[in-house]
Amino acid sequence: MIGAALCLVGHQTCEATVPLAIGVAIDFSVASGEPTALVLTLAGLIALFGLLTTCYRWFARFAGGAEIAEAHQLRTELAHHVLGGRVVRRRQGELLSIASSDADLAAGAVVWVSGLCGSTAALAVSSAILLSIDLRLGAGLIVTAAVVTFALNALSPWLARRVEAQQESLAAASALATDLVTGLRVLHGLGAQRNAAARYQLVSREAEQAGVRAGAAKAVQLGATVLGSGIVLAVSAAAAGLLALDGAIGVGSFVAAVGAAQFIAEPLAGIGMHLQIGASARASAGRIEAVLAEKADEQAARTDGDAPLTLDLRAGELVGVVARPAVVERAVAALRGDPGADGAVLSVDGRTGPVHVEPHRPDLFSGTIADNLALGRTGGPPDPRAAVEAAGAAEFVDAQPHGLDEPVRDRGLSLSGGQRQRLALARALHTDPPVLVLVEPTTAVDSVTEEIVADGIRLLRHSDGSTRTTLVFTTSPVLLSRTDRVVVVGDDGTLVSGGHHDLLGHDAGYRAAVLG
Amino acid sequence: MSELAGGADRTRLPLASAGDVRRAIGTHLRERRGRTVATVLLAALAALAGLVAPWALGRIVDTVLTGGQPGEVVSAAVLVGGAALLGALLTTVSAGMVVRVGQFVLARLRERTVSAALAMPAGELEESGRGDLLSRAGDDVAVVGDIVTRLLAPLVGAVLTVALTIAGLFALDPWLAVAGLTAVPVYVLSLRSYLPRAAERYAGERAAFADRAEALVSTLDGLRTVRAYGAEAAHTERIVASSARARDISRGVLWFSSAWGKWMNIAELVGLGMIVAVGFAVVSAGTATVGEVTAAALYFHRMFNPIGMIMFSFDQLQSAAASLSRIVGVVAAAPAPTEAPAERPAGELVGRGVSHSYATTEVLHDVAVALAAGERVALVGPSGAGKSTLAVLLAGLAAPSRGEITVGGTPVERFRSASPKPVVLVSQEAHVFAGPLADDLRMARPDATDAEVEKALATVGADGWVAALPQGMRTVVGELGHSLTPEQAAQVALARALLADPVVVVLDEATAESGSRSATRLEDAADAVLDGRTGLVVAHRLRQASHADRILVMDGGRIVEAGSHDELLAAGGHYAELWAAWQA
Repeated sequence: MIGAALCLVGHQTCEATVPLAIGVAIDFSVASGEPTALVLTLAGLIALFGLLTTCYRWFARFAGGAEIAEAHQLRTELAHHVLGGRVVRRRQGELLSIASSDADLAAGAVVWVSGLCGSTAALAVSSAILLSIDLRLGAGLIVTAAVVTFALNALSPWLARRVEAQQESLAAASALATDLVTGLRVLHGLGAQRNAAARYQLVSREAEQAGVRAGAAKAVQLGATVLGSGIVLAVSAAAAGLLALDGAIGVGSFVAAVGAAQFIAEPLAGIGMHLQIGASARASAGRIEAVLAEKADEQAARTDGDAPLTLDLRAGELVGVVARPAVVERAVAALRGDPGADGAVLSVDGRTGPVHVEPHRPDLFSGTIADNLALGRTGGPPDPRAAVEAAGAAEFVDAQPHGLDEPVRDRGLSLSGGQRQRLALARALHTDPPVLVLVEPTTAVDSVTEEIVADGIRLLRHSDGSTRTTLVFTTSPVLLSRTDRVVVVGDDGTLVSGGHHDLLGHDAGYRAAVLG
Repeated sequence: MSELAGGADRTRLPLASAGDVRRAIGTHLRERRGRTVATVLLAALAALAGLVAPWALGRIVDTVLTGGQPGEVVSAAVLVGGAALLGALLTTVSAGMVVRVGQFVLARLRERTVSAALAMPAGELEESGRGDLLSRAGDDVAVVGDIVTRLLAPLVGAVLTVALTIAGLFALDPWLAVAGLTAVPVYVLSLRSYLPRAAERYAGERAAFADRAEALVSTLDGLRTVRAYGAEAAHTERIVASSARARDISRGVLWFSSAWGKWMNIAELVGLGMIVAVGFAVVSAGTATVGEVTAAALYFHRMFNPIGMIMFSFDQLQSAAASLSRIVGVVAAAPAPTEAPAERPAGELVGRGVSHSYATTEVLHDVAVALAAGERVALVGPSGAGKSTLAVLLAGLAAPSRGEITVGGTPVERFRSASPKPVVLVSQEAHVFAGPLADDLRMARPDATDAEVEKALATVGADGWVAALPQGMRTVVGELGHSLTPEQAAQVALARALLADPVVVVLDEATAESGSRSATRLEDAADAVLDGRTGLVVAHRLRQASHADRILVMDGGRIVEAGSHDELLAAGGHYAELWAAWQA
């Protein structure tokens, strides 16, 4: 931080000295006609530029390097915190933007702090140059430059509002385009491409108008800057020129005074800019702090007073559960251990213990198919083949050019719903937990594949003498027909347990729920 | 859907050449020809006004050195002030006009791109091609938009300032101009060594950022699964590793670009030093005044910022050019719009000798189907049998490799861009468009009244939950809005089809994604949509098939059985086996 600040102070000091150097060069060599003076001047220029560029390079490296390292540090903390299960209710997009742009912004402290130091130094040097040329001239020009800069700064909030409005409308147009192309098949199915294009055009024209408004604001600011620096220049040229004509200052001082009066606007604007960056960096840091301070236990799930679903299984059993979706949802939340969720209690041979609940939504990750299947396995991989076959995914995996080593692209979104569902099931089966809970595992596969899956689960986990226990929440008659028994949860919460075929024969409610 | 997967040639859309991009931009600029010319002229005048001040300052130097009158100093200073006033006005007006023209072209370009993207044959596009299309219509358009918005006006100003300042140097004294121009080779050479290496490094950095975002998104998105598998540590590790890799690459880029930065200063030094040295010579030789050398040095100093701006814009201009070639490439790849027949066809849907291939694999072999007007036909069979492909072809979303498909006697592809479309396909993809729910439905028919939208929702049995939404059918749904359950999304899809009021409805597993109870409700909704129309239902649940007038059983790209439910059961074939297994 100190290194970065010192380097930038050096750089800005040199930048502030350049107008002075030009004045000196004119006065000392060009006007004098002394060849040695020329050589000395050129050597001086080389030294000045050498110092200027070296300072800047090391400022960039110190400050940028520190910023990059700090941003990584913040992201690491966020990742540990979020995955440590301590953040519950945040939109994914919000977390992504906090871990990306907020982390970058918050890490920029070293940049804006040294920026402030540098601008202040440049301001001091320019002021010193002006004051040393002539006290009254200097004071007058500093005041003029400051007034002009502050007047220009007054435009910024207005400009910022228009730019923000423009960014919002651009983001809206971009989001609409993405949404429409994502739903391309739906649009073509309906023949609604032109309606969609017309809708996009409306939003695009709004963005165009917002862009023109923001551009107009920027143009006014640009024009005001030209006018402001022109006024400073005209005032300094008149004042310093008259002094020079009187012989009070030399030609070199005239050029230096005019140059410094022009330059002084830069550090003045720089101080304002760095203060602004500092404010947004602090806001970003605040958002990161808020995430890091979050505790999961504040987010207890609501209980609606219904008694928990109590399921007691024997080790080695394959049991189906048929229940209303709301009941299934509460039970699954409790089984996977959501904080405060108490919709179900599952015991095997009277004992509760760890349960693997396969989420209904099949999330896949980048990596190969084999990598995905090995997600929950810590040891060396035994062949996932059996699990792939049991999940009815063998045919589709074999059809991939590289089989199990085929990369999964776009988090599996390039696969069909049925393929994703079967891979997720294969992953659960391959993980081979003692107690497995599946939630509607075959909603996206066809009837033929469903048969394969139902047989596969039975064969892989429940062959003779196996102690693996499986609970399936489903209303699929194909899956239910392969279970050892089915637990039916009535609308009043009563449990009925029996074989699939018996229930089909005797329980009209069950028939309706399963066969429709 | 893998069933619709194409060959490698379909995976990426083409890129447009630089010439195509120029022509595309030129077309839109010509629509605003007068304004474009006026803009450039005004911007040039604004830059010209900027040349007055250094020249006037040089005059003051000469006045001082030759012992002139105070009046001359004051009039030169007034000239500076006047030029500033004029320059400020011209800058404001021209910068505003540059933005106007830029935003005009940008808006037309993005509208053409999105409209071309939407015209891309969805049925033929492979998934990775869709990803490509998505990133072009979304990200690339955003990249170009951002660069136009931020850079265009300052860049135009900077280029004109540099060009006119060089002209001003020549007007002052050719030797001084040549001295200043010695900086040009330094700029050019350093830029030529910088750009290719920088492009590579920045591309690497962007890829590392994308990887980092992907690691974050996939983990956040699949957090439930990550937790279920106790894979938190491995995923944290992955995020941290991708972030560390991005950090290392960024640091390399920083070192590289900060090392290159010295060439900017070297070029400045060379130019300034040469002006001083040559100025020394010309003043000694008496061909120029000290004031002129002063003006030349100030001219040159004035160019530092605009040149820096131009140099540092090159990276972004390169990425804008890359995005533009991807954007214009979409427009080139989209099929030309065709005129659809105006009259509404009758409801017979007939396919003769229909075969279809993806790349070199034939997936449909000589299929014949005929649906009478008002008939309801179910299509069943295992995955990969070609059901979805046949559905897409029958709905006219893609042309078959061989054979002919007609609706009411007219080739169905001719209705591909018709609006409303006489044959509507409701696919298993339950996309809900972001925005108010009513707007989603109006995608099918923009002029539908609130009452019509409400009626459609009621017909598919969605009126109950829609009324329970915070703002009814004006509730914002989809991404970032109220999220609908798969069943509700499927009902919305069916309601859209109702509003489109087609002659023929093709339902491709529209009711697949749900449990049995809701499947029943959705089947009722589907019945309502099929009522009074010709219907083809790609059935996932056999129960739905059993209600159809006729059932077609597909296997291996062929229709292997056809008949009513009872006939097929009696025949004891493939269908009878499936039915028995399902009932067991």
